[in-house]
Amino acid sequence: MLQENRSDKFKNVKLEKLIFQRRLFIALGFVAIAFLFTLFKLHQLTITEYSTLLSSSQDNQLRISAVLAPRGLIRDRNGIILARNDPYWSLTYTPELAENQEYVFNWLLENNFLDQIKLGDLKALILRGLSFSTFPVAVLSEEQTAIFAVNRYKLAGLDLSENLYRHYPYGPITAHVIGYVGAIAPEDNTRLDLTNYLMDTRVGRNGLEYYQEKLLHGDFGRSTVIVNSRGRVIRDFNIQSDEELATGSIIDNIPPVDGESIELTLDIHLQELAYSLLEGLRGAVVAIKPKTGEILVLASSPTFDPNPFSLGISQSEFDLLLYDDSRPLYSRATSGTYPPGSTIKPFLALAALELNLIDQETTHFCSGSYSLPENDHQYRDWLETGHGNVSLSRSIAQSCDVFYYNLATDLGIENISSFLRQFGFGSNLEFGIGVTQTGILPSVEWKRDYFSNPSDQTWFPGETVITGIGQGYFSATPLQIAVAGSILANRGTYVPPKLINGVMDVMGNYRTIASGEGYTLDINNEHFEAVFNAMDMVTHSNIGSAYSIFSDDEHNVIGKTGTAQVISIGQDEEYIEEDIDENLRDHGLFFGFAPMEDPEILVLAIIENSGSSSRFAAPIVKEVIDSYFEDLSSDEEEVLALNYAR
Amino acid sequence: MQDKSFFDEILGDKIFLFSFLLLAILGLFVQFSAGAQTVVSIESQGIKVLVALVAYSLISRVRINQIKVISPWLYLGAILLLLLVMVVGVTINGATRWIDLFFFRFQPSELAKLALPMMLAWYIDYRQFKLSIIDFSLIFLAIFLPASLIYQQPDFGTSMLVILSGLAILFFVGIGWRFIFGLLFVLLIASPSIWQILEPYQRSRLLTFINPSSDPLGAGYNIIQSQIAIGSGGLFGKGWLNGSQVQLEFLPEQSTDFIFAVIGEEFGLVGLLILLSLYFLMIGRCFVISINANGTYSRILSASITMFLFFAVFINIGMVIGILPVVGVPLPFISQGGTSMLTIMLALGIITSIDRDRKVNLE
Repeated sequence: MLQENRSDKFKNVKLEKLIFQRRLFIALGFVAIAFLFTLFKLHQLTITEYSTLLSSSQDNQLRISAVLAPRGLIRDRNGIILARNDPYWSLTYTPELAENQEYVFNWLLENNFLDQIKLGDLKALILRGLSFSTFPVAVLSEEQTAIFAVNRYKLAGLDLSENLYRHYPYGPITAHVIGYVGAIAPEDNTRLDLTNYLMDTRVGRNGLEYYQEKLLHGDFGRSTVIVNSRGRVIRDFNIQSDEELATGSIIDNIPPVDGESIELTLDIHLQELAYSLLEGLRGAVVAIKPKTGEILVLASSPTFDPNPFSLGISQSEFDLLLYDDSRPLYSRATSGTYPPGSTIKPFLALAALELNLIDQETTHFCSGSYSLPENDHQYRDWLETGHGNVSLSRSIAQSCDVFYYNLATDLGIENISSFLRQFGFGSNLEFGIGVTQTGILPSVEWKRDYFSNPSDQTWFPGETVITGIGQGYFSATPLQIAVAGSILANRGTYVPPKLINGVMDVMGNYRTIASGEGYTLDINNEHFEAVFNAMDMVTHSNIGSAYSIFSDDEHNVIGKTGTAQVISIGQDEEYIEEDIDENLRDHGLFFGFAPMEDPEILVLAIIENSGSSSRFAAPIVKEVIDSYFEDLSSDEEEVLALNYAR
Repeated sequence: MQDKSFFDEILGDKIFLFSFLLLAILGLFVQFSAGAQTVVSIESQGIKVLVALVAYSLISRVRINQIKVISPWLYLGAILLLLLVMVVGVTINGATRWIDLFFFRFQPSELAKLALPMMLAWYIDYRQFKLSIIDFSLIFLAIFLPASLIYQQPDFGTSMLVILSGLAILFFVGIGWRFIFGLLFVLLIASPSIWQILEPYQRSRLLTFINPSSDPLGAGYNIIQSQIAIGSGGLFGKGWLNGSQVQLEFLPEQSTDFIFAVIGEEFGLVGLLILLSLYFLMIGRCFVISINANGTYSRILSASITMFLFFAVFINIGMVIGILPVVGVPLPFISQGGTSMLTIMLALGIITSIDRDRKVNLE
């Protein structure tokens, strides 16, 4: 100690201390500056940027996941379920939980849960994703689910997840009406609010599923969960206290709102019957209640099974349906356009009566053909030998063509088209499954608009002649013909057709869906009587074109046969069915309604290339009408039995 | 002698003890929150706090002259141990920093942190403050020899601390401003070649310091997450055990290097200001001791320890709040781990001994 003090004396102790202290104060200044910097930065983070950084910390931890809403059910008029959501098992894979990825993949391959291609896709997905993500592997059959369950203990990383898929218990027989569901397509962006959809949500792709997507879909719920930095959901972290402390708000979970159930006007038993009658044929059946517009049957054949679409159908499977010559995906009942043929005759008779061109006594002579003045073109009657003197009633009963060639010429095309327009021909029928085909109601104006070449735009008198028997440019969908028939059956009152009776939400609140405005035509009731009587002869007079089918009719069905030509036969040729390629043979049509006095049901059948209507179309209509009344009486019996029991 | 208080005589400096205990207890609470949240998980840290306290108390009672005498030997020993690490060191996470003594792992670089300023102070005192260019060269050599041995372990943070405390001594002995600016100039010129020497991870740390959002999920992740933690804590914090960044493990190294952000998130700006005040109190106390210290050795060593404490605190905090690049150094007394705490407490023990020596001389 003493030595040190002495050694200090040899140095300039004062200077040394001065320098040191000065430097020490400079260092202190440096320390102070550093502290000030720190304070400034802390102020910036905790005060200035507080709210931004707070929301960043919340974004870090909060993940919003969707809770899917079950799609609305679809039922028939009696409450029978036509579309529902069934559970299925699918296999998922979470890399983070796997112990031996190679073993798991080999097991999947060996047990045919996956093929090499799909495994490659899965591996690519895993590479791009995060290790804690869960990847879909495969949809399992019941047997596969059992196999997995047994081996599960050695397959860490794989898990079963239960999902819902759309199932149609009646499959093909409701396919055209209800449609099917499939993956979201790019074009859905414009029609749907895709924020209400997940990537893998199934949306309606056709039919009712497509047009009523908004009703059926519902709203998915949102559940907010807290995750850690690795994305794992932390359940035991106290959401409330943290959130209340940080923001004063509580995270709320929004429950899903199930899609609304739709009750159709369809009667699935009649629909089933119609399909069984259409088995092996190409064509359509429409049944409608004229008084209410309720569609009971809307059948198109051939059809397809919509169920495979729910879980995803391969392109090759879809192509098979798409390029099938018989066009099973095509809804003939609403979109197929056919010449109405002779089924148009009652309407023309009515028009001629209304315009006082004929009365019930007026006759035209049918020699088997008809020519316009100063023209030698022969318009043939289906009966080569002719019907002789034909009155209105016989013209309908026997479907005399010459009578209507005369009527058409007398009416003129403008009268024909404006009269028929009132029955819905040439116009669009909106009834809940979207836009259907309008068909063509020919007129001078239509032809001018339709053709671009001026030489094609002129209307020829001959074209009026064949319009009289529902041929030429004239075309209509089966639904249109059925609706026109309903207006006739209703004696001029139009009730818009409807497929949807009502809609029910999850709470059980039922509401009916308003259909469009109806109207009543100003037509003399006597004229309806005349036409009805004539149509009665079709089914009940021994000269009637459908007499053989309806000879044992118990329900007072009246109707009209029709044959729609697919090709025109040359002037000197003869139509011999056996000689003509099947696809070019005539379509057979029949519509009938019953009972005549107060029609309750109208059925139309159209069978492609079947030739005469009496072969298939008329028997189908009879069976459907008979079945309708049988069901009705058995229902009444039940009610009676119930009452009796009381 | 009879008016000496219990603290001064038995335990040491009141201010150091007060600040240390508060900081260490805060550290235990924060480690509890950032870790497994069991008492067992912080038990060993509690024992380390007691060990550091005892070590401080013992060293503070050693006469400063005795410390001075062993300074060069301590330095020599530190260099030899650093060389020994290269041969028999234990490698953890790719870094070879430890010698396994079976009951605990000894880290020679921590000894070097302390031994270097002690040796330099001894040498300058030995040269009676008259330093030639050769002396300066020797001093530089004495700084860069342990620094480079530590750097290659690799341990960038500790070697930076060693260099800084060495350079601080040069500053305190009154090295000319011309020299200081000259050194800065040389550093500037040499920076491209220094860039070449740096490991890729060190380069990316520097780059993300300049712009953290350039790689938000990579090198910039740490700094972004720690800033979110501190900022979202606001004025009063989210509450103990309630910081989402901490509890959901968004914060990296939250029990060690980034523990400052845990305090920010759970105790807010207020908690951080209390923490900073305690550090400032300690550093301030060191200043007062330094200003009043007697003799070249005591003065230089106490000033050096002052700056050593300041660097240890400021480099960690600066890194966590994003005003300095990421350098892996712990926050004194708060971060989990005993070695760094022990080193600093030993240093504080020495500075307390210096203060005692002055008081003895006054009498």
